[in-house]
Amino acid sequence: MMLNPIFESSARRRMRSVRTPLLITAYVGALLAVAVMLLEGFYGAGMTIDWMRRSVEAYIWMTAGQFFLILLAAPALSAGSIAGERERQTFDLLMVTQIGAWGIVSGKLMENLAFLLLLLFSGVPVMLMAWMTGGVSLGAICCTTIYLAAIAFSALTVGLFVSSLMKRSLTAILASYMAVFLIGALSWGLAKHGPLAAHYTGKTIELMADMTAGEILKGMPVTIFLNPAVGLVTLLASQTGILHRTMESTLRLYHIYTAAKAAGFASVSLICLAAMLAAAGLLLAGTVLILRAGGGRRRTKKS
Amino acid sequence: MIQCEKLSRRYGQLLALDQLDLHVDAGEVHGFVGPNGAGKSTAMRIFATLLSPTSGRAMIGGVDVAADPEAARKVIGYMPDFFGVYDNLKAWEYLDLYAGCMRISAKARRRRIDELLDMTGMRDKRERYVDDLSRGMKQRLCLCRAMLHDPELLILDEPASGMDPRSRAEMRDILREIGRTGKTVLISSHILPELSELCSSMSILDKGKLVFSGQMDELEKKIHAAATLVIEFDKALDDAERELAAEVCRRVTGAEAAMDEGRCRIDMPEDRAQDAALLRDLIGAGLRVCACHRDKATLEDVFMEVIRE
Repeated sequence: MMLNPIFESSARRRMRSVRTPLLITAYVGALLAVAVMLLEGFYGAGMTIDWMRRSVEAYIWMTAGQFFLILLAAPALSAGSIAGERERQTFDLLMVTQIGAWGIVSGKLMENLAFLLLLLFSGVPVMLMAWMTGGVSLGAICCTTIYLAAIAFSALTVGLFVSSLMKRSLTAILASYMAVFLIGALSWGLAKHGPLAAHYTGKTIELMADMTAGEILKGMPVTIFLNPAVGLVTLLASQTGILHRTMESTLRLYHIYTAAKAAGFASVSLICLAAMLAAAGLLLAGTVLILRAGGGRRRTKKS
Repeated sequence: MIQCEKLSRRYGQLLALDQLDLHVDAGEVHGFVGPNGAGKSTAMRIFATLLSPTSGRAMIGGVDVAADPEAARKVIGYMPDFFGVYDNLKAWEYLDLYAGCMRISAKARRRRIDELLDMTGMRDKRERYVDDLSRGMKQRLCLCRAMLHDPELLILDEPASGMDPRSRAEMRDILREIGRTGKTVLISSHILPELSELCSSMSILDKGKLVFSGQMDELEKKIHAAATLVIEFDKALDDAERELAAEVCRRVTGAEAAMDEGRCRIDMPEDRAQDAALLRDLIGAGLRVCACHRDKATLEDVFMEVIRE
């Protein structure tokens, strides 16, 4: 089978660049700093419940750190990809080949996803520190890494979609950050002022005990499932069970947390994963259609 | 190979291409000439499947480019008037990327890349980073890219633009070689003498309209038809001698001569017998003729004339 040539060439160029090892070092270094800060003093102190809890907290913080780093890196990586081809004037050269719009989009996606996966996997040994201290299982770390990979994939599709509409990389990157922020804010904001507020206030929360998991899930606002943070929080909650106190600090977050707890954290995180991947699929299809329809914003008119 | 009927392209209010009817036979090297904004690049981008026509139809090798762009791309090799580069990519890697995009197998790719690098005299630049190549070398690399899949039609938009005279001459030699292989080449350029040496036929566009299309010999006839006969005398003529020379010219050729101090110029079609008669009569009238030649119109003169018309 032939490897996507765009992926092959980009991977070659990326790995040749001095920025790549620097980025990986910085990423793993940041993760390691969080881990060392939280687990400092653990070794040689003996195994206590308190220390095990501390290692779980370190795991949660490291996961949160990876989540934010992905949200920071993904739009910047993918938003510049198609717009960057236009800027370099290589977009037309690709369009006159046999690769087609899907080949370009999948090549760009694979290129950026491979790099993000490299970052994620290089962080796994640091995450394993939480396993070594007995706080979380190996399976939980694997699940979280896969979940983070799915978030990376989805965030990349947002960047690619925006990139297909823009002519300049910088504009595309800014617009992608805005799009990612809007997806997070709107999915949350609509939930706050949508059906959730009506359903899960006051004594309704007490009545949840009598509702089935399906009924609770149906009552939850659809938009909330599009928020990757919700999926990740519920996944971590299902793995660790210690997020209750943290979530209490935000009432609305607590409501979702309570509802998700009643419906089952694992089910909610799976629904979030499915919704996220479905939305990513739609964005990918949209990107391909835009390129097929003429490449979004075309090169300026010439003689 | 290229057949287009009433091809038009509009950008908002601007009509960039207006009812273009063009026919280029297989194996021809066809020049595409016109001033800036004439619609050359627009037409070429339509042929290259990068732009849809507003109306009309363009067929390449029997394939409608708007209806079946994927089939058309197999037949076309397109070299635009710009060179898109990637950082950190060697010359062979650059070609390898596009060969992959052309669905050429890995094994065939290596062989084809080496063939093209040899053909364009770039074999020794194989391992050089594209960024480090000179403009002339980049243009050659771009030509290699357009030829990777051995297309039947090459569309070359200003292939020698921005190159120094030596690189231009080298590019011209390469293009001449390509022309000899029997490929159809559509080439646009602002450097008209280059086109006259390379092309077997030519089209001239102005303001989106086709103002001339035909074989080079038709154009050459126009060039010869517009030739000026220049007769030089051994010294500056006085008024009486000037009047005498003008009278002889009028009598023999029927045309008015433009006289200056030691020279007279007559716009007349090339006719060797008439030239000989004129020289004989001038000498017979006692005027001392020391040189005689024809100032042929250049392609630029004809181009300007056609545009003016």
